[in-house]
Amino acid sequence: MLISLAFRNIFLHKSKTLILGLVIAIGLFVLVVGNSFLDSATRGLESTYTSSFTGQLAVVPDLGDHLPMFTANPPPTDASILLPGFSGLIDFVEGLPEVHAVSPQLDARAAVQYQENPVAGTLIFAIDPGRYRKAFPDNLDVIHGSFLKPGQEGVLLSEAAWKALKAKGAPHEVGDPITLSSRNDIAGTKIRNVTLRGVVRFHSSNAFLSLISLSDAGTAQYLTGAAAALASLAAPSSPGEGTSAGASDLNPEVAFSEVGSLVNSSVSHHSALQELSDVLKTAGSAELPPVDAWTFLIVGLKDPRSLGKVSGEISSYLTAHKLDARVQDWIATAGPLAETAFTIKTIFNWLIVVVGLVALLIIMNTLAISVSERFPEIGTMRAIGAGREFVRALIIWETLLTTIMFGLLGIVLGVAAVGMLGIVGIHAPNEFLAVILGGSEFHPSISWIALAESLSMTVVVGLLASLYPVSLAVRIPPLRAIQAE
Amino acid sequence: MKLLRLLNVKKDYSLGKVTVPAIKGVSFDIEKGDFVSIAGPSGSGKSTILNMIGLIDVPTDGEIFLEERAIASLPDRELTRLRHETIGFIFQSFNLIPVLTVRENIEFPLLIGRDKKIGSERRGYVDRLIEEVGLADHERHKPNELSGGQRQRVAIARALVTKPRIVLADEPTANLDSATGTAIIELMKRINREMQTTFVFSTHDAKIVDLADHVLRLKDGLIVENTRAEA
Repeated sequence: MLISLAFRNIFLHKSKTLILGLVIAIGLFVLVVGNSFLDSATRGLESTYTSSFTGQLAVVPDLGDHLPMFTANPPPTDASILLPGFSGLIDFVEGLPEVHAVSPQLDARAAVQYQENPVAGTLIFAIDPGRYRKAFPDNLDVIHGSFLKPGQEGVLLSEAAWKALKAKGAPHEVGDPITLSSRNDIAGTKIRNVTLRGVVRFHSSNAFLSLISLSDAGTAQYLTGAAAALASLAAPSSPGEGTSAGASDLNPEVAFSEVGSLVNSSVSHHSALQELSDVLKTAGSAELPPVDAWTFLIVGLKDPRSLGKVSGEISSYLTAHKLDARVQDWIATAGPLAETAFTIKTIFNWLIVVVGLVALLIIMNTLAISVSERFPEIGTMRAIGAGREFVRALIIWETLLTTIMFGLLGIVLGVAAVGMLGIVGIHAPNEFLAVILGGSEFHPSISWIALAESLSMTVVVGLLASLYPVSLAVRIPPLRAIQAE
Repeated sequence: MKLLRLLNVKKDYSLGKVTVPAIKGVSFDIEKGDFVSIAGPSGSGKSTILNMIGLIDVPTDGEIFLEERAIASLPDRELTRLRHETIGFIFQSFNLIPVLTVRENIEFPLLIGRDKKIGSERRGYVDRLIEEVGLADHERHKPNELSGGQRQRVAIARALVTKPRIVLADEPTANLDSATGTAIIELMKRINREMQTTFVFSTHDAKIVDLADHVLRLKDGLIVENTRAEA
């Protein structure tokens, strides 16, 4: 009877019910659509990054903060960006039963050059080819040439860089030598000739990801100066000495670092540069001894749910062996690209909280007006024997029925809208949105978590909104039934 | 048996800083089965006395006994229970619940009590009341589909459904035409005789006062006449 009475009262006060209903339905519609969009985008981002670039975890040198894989401002290139105790670390991580694959990586930002002029920029991921393919078996297509073989020198150029080379009439066939240059404040300018082994196109791509090229370890280690840094660590300088001659003997990188400085200081001197370039073409092509100079140890898990356990075990290993390194999740490895999406989601959630509070105030106010207009009716109920509990229950039921009915309407409309957009798809109009949405073509899907959150929010807002009107209603004295006359 | 006793009951209202005495000290008894009219001009205190008898207002001073029980200091929960089980109300403006049908309005007091079930016995009693007030053909109608007289008949049936010891009616004919008003009072009188239910109603209509067998006449918050018709 109570529910029936509440239901009929809702329909009796049509205009107020409609005002409330619209606020609730619109709020829930926005909540469902917004959360589904953001959840789809973050799921897409996570899938894209973990299966193509970052794995679920990465072990990185501890520089005091997260170390992103994609960044416009790479950290200083010295020994601090190299993973300490690498050989023991990779053995340990590979031996964990929950780990599917590990892949070491070193990043280098480089320019592809032709006739001493930069043709295109590229972000080089130096990899161990065998481990990389095991970790990311299906993240890219080799559209020309073939994938790097273990121990093979060379580069798989990004499609964008390769097209730029081709457009300039530069050598661009598989097997052609190409020139890469890089410069940083510590290692100076580095130039290296390297064999073009192929052209890659990542399945998930955008303006940033389309810049990625893959290379053998030695190429990136040389371009960043990382190998030299490691060599200098391996043979510490005597007091009063500069860069160790011993290190130079051990590894040609040291010699190249000095040449790099020369290039840096003589960059405008064309004849000197040409001469230098000839030397480099010979030196850079030489086979380099393998060096354990890596920044990232990417970890792919058999089951993402074991992330916490594996992370803890690796952290314990790092602590036990006093290694200055840390474990970070895929978001930290992906860096600003992924963090932006999560920041937007956080901002959206706060906006929802604000909108929810405003909606709550509107609903509460409308209900309070409705109750104040029904003083005689409620007074009559009290006069003929209805207790405060009955009045309280009546108002709560009216509020809950209104919020649930219109909330469900908003949810159904939201689900329909997301379903339609999921089928049709949304084309990201710019690269920024493509990054946020996890691709240029976005197909949102219903987020069950968003639905559960929406339903919970409907009930919570309904109950909270009824608090003040209920307190008003239960204080109505039965005398108001007579005073209304 | 004295159903109701008022002893030197006073009621003051505060209007800002001014205290207005509405009832200045009245005492009277109402017997079981009485058909009582509280008469007097507007502002004489008729409604105030009915409100206090109906446990929806409390005296400033004095005491009210309902079936020998002092009620002035009872808590709200107990007053609510007493109102539900002992007293029926008929309002000047009918005060029906607009979303409920005639039958549902009449059944409503049964559904808000401790025993919320309407069994066959209670259903039969509701049927009888609907018959008594002559609304058998209108039981599925909503209040806005009824005339004033019909609405007041619904209110009478609603007041009687819990089988109260006393039914209070505050100017039950004020919103009705003369003929309908008289018919309503006659209906109340008939129920009074048949069911031995005590009725107390307020009015300033002399013709209706004449139908009562116990008249309490008020003037300026005091009883100026307390007469019983000869049996």
